[in-house]
Amino acid sequence: MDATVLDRSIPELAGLVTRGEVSAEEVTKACLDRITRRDGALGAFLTVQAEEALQAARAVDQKRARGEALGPLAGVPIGIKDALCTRDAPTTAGSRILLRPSSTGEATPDPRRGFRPPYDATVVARLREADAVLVGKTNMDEFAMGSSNENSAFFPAKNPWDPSRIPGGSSGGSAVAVAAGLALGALGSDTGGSIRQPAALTGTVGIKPTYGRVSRYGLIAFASSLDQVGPFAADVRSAARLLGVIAGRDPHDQTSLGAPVAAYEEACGRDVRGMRIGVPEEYFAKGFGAKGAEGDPMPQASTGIQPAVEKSVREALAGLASLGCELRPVRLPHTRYAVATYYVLATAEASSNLSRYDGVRFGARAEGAESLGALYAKTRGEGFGREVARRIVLGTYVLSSGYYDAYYLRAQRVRTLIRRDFEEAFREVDVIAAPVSPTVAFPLGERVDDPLAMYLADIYTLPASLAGVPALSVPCAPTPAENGVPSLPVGLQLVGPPLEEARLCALAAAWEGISPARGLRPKVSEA
Amino acid sequence: MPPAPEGSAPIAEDEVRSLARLANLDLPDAEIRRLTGDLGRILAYVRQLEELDVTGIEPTAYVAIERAELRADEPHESLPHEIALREAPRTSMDGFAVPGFVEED
Repeated sequence: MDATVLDRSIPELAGLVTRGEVSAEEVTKACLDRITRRDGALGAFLTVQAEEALQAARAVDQKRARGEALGPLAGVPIGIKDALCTRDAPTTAGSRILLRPSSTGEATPDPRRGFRPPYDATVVARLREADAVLVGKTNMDEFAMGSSNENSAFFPAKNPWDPSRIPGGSSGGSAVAVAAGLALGALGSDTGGSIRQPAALTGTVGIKPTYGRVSRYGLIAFASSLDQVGPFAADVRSAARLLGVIAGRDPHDQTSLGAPVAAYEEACGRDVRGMRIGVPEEYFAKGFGAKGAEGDPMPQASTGIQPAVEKSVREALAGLASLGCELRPVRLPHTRYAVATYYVLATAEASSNLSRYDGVRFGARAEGAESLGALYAKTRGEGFGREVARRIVLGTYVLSSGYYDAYYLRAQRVRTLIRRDFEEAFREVDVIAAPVSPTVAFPLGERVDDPLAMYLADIYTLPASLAGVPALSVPCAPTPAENGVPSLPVGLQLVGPPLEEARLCALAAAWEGISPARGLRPKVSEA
Repeated sequence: MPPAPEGSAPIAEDEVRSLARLANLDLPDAEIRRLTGDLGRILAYVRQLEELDVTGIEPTAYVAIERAELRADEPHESLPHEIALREAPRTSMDGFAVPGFVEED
């Protein structure tokens, strides 16, 4: 069997396995071999479950041999963001605080010592039921806090298009795994853009479903009013198939929605003529969303969209028009407040959700604490990375007596205004098209000392998160190579009304059919 | 305490120290200083929310697409005791072990 079978789409590969043209075991072996040869330089995976993957693959092959029907992901290698619980397999959320105490006292933290959950996240269980093969846990910013994957407590994931650059975050490892052909699909989680932004920066497709469309049971919580699980894949149909498997009501998640799951994959190929596409022109204005403090230099990332990114996104908009869609300007006047709103609400929720890491029931525990209070404070002080500590303290501040109304409650009211912007826009248009990220992938280290500049990387993805509406990123033309910077991927963001993921898939697939990015893959070096 | 007036430092080092204490985070002084600068810049940015008149606007705590049904109030199986204790860094007498705390302030 040729390893290029790993470069097929998910429906194609599942078809090959179902028809017996390749075995799931062969596919899995090829995939594990690729991970061994390619991932050392990329850091997509925190841990690889080779034995378990081979066992699962053999079980799929045996099922076929018995004449049983196979699931829609038969033998398809999938990566799982390490924020999702996998039964008996290490789960770290990219943090030291979820590592078991070391008996050897090694200097570098080892994700293989991660917490071993007693149960599978519902989305993980659904992938297994669909006969997928889970190959490993993917790298991420600690507790999904970050936009570059540099906040991983272990090592940063690197962009396969240029390994001196970040892949985006927080689901950076999932995006890299798919972009570099280390898995055909991956799951991520998106709280403020953590699926769409890395998808855009790695040239993959990433979907953030409607809030509640996909169960979060077993997703390690960051900000519960925003967190949503979604798929990555190399093409729209593949992502649509994954979404169809994981979506739907789950009795274990009170926020999961009972609405019927739409036929996402079948929607790909649907005619999009006459679809009304809203274009928020303010998103392209210089300095959109930026407002430095008086006298403060404007954060580097706040000067608006890079010209090459704008050009690529505008070409994609013209492409949608050429497909028979009707472009209309829309206004989303409050979305420029999305970064400020988000960093109040998400940090408030995080400060509460992360209070459970206390050194008592699981994970790391500081040595030498003489009181319970000291045990908590020392364990947390040592266990959390800088960005996580920053957000916990900010969240504690905005929730504290005297500031609650001025920050937290005010931000919740602004969130209502942002939701209304979308409700009004969707009275006039079927889909909103926008950039995903104001810039292409930036060099590793460029923003690590400037949290605000890092936060502004999410300016275009936060509004849909706050409004709870579905959104995806699909590749448009990569930027041209110039001045020593290689050609880099750019994403087009499509945002829809609640539960209209199928409409987004239809439009994204139609665009993909004529996109200059179609079929482009990074050249990944092999050891 | 109302928010600090426009133009003043948004947050002081002592305030950050007491927030870290409230959040059960034991951080070295150098980190507290660094955090004070970071939070000051972030809060200065966040203050742009004050430009908006939000009088009479309902807050959104989360986006409810449909009415969530309550599940039936029936007993379910829970984690077996030994599984619940399996990941604890320290156990004692069939429970989670913690330092003594009864005499703490």
